[in-house]
Parts: sequence; C-alpha cells; structure tokens
Amino acid sequence: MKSVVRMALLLGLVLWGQALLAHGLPGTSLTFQPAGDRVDLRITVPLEELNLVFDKLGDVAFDQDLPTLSESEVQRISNYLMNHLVVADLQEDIVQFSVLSARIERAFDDHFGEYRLLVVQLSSSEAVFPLILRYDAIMHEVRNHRATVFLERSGATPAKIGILQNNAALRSPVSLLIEDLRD
Amino acid sequence: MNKKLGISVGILVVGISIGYGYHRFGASAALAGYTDANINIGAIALPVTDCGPTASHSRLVCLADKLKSGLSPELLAKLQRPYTVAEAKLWSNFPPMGFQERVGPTLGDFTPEQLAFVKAILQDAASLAANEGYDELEQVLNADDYLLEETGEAGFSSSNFHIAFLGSPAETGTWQLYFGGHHFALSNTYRDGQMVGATPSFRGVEPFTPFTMNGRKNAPMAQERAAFAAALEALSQEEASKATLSGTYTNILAGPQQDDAIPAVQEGLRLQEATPTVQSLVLAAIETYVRDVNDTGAKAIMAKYKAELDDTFLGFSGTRSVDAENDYVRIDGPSVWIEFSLQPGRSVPGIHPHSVWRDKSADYGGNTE
Repeated sequence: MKSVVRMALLLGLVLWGQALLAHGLPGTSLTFQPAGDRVDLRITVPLEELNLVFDKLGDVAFDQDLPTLSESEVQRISNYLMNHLVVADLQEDIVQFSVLSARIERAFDDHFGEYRLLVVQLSSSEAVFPLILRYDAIMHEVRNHRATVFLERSGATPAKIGILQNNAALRSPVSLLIEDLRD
Repeated sequence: MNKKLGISVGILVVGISIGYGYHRFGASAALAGYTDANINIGAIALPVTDCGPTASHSRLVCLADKLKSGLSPELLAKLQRPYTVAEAKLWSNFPPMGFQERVGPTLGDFTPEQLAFVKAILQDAASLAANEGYDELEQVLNADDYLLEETGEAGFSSSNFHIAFLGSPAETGTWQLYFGGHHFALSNTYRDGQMVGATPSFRGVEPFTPFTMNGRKNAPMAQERAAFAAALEALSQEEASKATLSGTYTNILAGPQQDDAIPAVQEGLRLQEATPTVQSLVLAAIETYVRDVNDTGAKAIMAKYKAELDDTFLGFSGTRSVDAENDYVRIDGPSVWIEFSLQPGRSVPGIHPHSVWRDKSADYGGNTE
C-alpha cells in the first residue's frame, strides 16, 4: 500500500470518531449509495453558497418558482463538480463519475428557515470499497463551508461518516476514507 | 482508470451550518420545555442581600447559594450540575428550535423572586458597562422578545435562555457559570475563587439595526462592528493588502461544537508591522469582547492580550466598513481568537452578526474534562 494511501487511511480512521460528534446542519451533503459493483452519489448544495463560487444558475430569485436547469447548466454543474471531486480506491485508481440529473429543490432548516438546494445525482464506474474521497467544491472559496459525508445502504437510514472542511493551514484539498458499512 | 490519485489529507471537523435569506414564520406552539414568555429582565428589581455591595467571586458564591436555597429539589437538580467540560461545550448560537442540548433550567422556570437572583448573578459575573457585559446580554434577550413579537415563532423569547452551575460555586474547586440561548453563550470558569476563563463567548443579534423592545433602545453589537470598521479603515493600502484573507466567509469558523476549528497558521496582518494607531484600534476592538467580563477579570485578560499584540494578526474578508453580507473580521493572537461575521437575516430583513471570542489556552478555563 502506498504511503500516501496509508496516511489517508490512518487519518481517516482517527478522525472518524470526531466526525460522529458533529451536530449535523445544512451545508453540502455527499451521500454515497453502494449499488452492486458501482456506487451512486447524491450531492446536495445550498444554492446561495454555490452561487458564491459559480455564476448564478437560472433565475433563482427567492420568491419565484423553482427553475428547471437547462442542459447547458447541468453540464456546467458537472464540469465544476468534476474539478472538485475525486474518488479513488486503495490502489489509487480513480472512480469515474457522471451526472445523471440535477435539479433545484426547496429545503427548510429549523434555524435558517427556507433555502434552496441543488440536488445532483451521479453514478460511478466500477467501485470497490474502501474508497478515498477528495472534495473541495465551494470550500475552495467559502472557508467556513463544510461537507457532510453519508453512506446509504439500500433501505437503510444514511449513516454519517464524516465532515470535510478546507484546511486553512494546509490550503489543501480535503479527503476522507469511506468504508462500506456492510462489513 | 489507470490515472493515479495523489491524496493530500486535510482536516475533518465537526458540523456547522450556514444561513440563507430570512424567512417569516407564523405563530406556532411552544416547544417542549420552553415557555416563550417575555421576562423583561431589565425591569426585574435586584434582590436586597447581605452578599456585599461590589462584584466579586465571594459575592457571586453568596448569590448563587441564595438562589439555590429557594429552589425546589427538581429545579435545583437542573441548575446545580457536576463540573464537566462535556457539558460546558453544550453551547450554541441557535435558538431552541435549532439546538436543544443546553443544560440547566430556562429563565422561564424561575419565579420573579428567583429571577432577581439570576439577574444579580449575571451582573456580578459580567461588566456593567453600557452595551457590554450584562447590558449587552439584556439587549440580546430583548432581541428574542422582539423576534417573538414580530414572527410569533415558538422558540424565541427571553424566557428560553438557560442558566446552570457546572460544579458548585465555592471559594475552592472549579465551577463554571453557564448561561446561553439564542445568539448568546457565557462561559465563566472559576478555580479557587479566581476567574480562569471567560470563553468561549458567543454573541450575535437579530435584528442588527437598533430596535425598541421592553421599554428601551437596543443595539447590543453596534460597538463591536464600529470598532472593527475603525481598525480596518485605518489600514494603509499595504496593511490592508496583508490583512486581506483569501476566500469568502459566510459564517465564523470556531463556532459552537467547533472547538478544534481554529487554524494552526495565523493569517493576515501581523500587528508588529502595523502602525501604533492600528494597534490601538485593534486593542479597542478586543476590549469590546473582554469588557463583557467584570473589571477584575477583564484587566488581567487585556494585559495578556496587550503583551501578545506584536504576534497577533488582523484579517478580514469583504468590505472594510464591515456593513455588508459576508463581511468577516478576525483577530488571531497567541491566545486571543475573535471572529465577527455578517450574514443574512433569518427572521427579519437585513444582515445580522455572529461573533465569537475564544482564548486558545483558557477556553473552558483551560480544562479538558
């Protein structure tokens, strides 16, 4: 096993426990959904945070109906996410993802009230757990932004496995080890 | 598939949340355990006691004993808790609809006579300066009463703030005065009769623009904003360039349940390189936080921060006038850590601040358990 992967594995396990203490509230969520020999991934991003780093998506005025994203907007979203998302197995082989759909939904939080959420559904090529996630969408610009990572087995409640935040000291992408909880 | 991935490991932290646009809620039923009543703490007369005329730890212990002596066993058990840092960490900026893990009874659980002792305890622990300390606290409570009137939303109100003694108030041993609710956390830790920590200390307020409630004008955090703006606007172009933080901040970093979120590397303008004017303005901004503590404690803390000023950094993102959404200011020293963030209103139109004062060595009195 290469040293860099060992380091990710070790830190991922050490930090796992800390993540379980988290008080989960809206930010980005990444939900990995094992599906046979591949994995699906659902990413939800509060639209107003996304718009700090991304040209506005359609007409998203707060009091208007939710817009439908155009094909070109979905492509822009895909391009952006692919520049900020890397998933690899322990052999460091990249898992390829493609965007299946993207839409804007209403969301509500007890503290923050109503907000809008971009929901992107992706699907992967063949993927073997454990996987290493590197992700810094929005976080590369919005320094306090965090992404909560979940693993969702079929029919089960998604299990939170960690929270990612950009590291101001390292200025490096953030990464996390994701193990399939079946074992 | 043969592409290889170079992984650099970042940091994993606990969760936080980010606000978006205000939303007006309709009237709703009170949350379990909360009463949604306006206690108008400013109108409560202080008790007549033999605890002494001036603020001191001895007086604080005396007032705490008198409050405890008049409580039912059930209420006393809620108020007087064992000292643990785990419970000390249960603070938040959120109102009860977003965070219900706070400990201790709420102000709504007390009789008016008992509330008089609570008020006296808070006044003893905090400063009596205008718009700081106790006065700031009173205005933040008034803000929640204002929000309840404006929105009718269950969870807002001055009655829903918690108080607890973590450890027994006494001349020996460790204890913490815990007080908190929406946009407020007070964490004064005492050891053997001395205050050994006044942080984490969270302040926020909505509405941020001055408002009238409970018979007075309220603008509890205007002076913090003004102090930061004065410091930033005094910067030369070169200083401002150094002080500019990369990226955008839509909230603070070291908020509730974010005790490990302070970056290891300081960023911004090192104050050793700043003019004496800027240095004094930054100290003035720090004082708007430290002066929330009573005079005895504040003097010792300010002396420490002043001695460390050369190695303290000033950083900001957004405007130097500190009056726009996503404006962010940070003071990062060997000990002091202060963040001030302006974000969208949640319940009424306009921006509102979230701010935290931490001390890297004295949070929770320097205790870890």
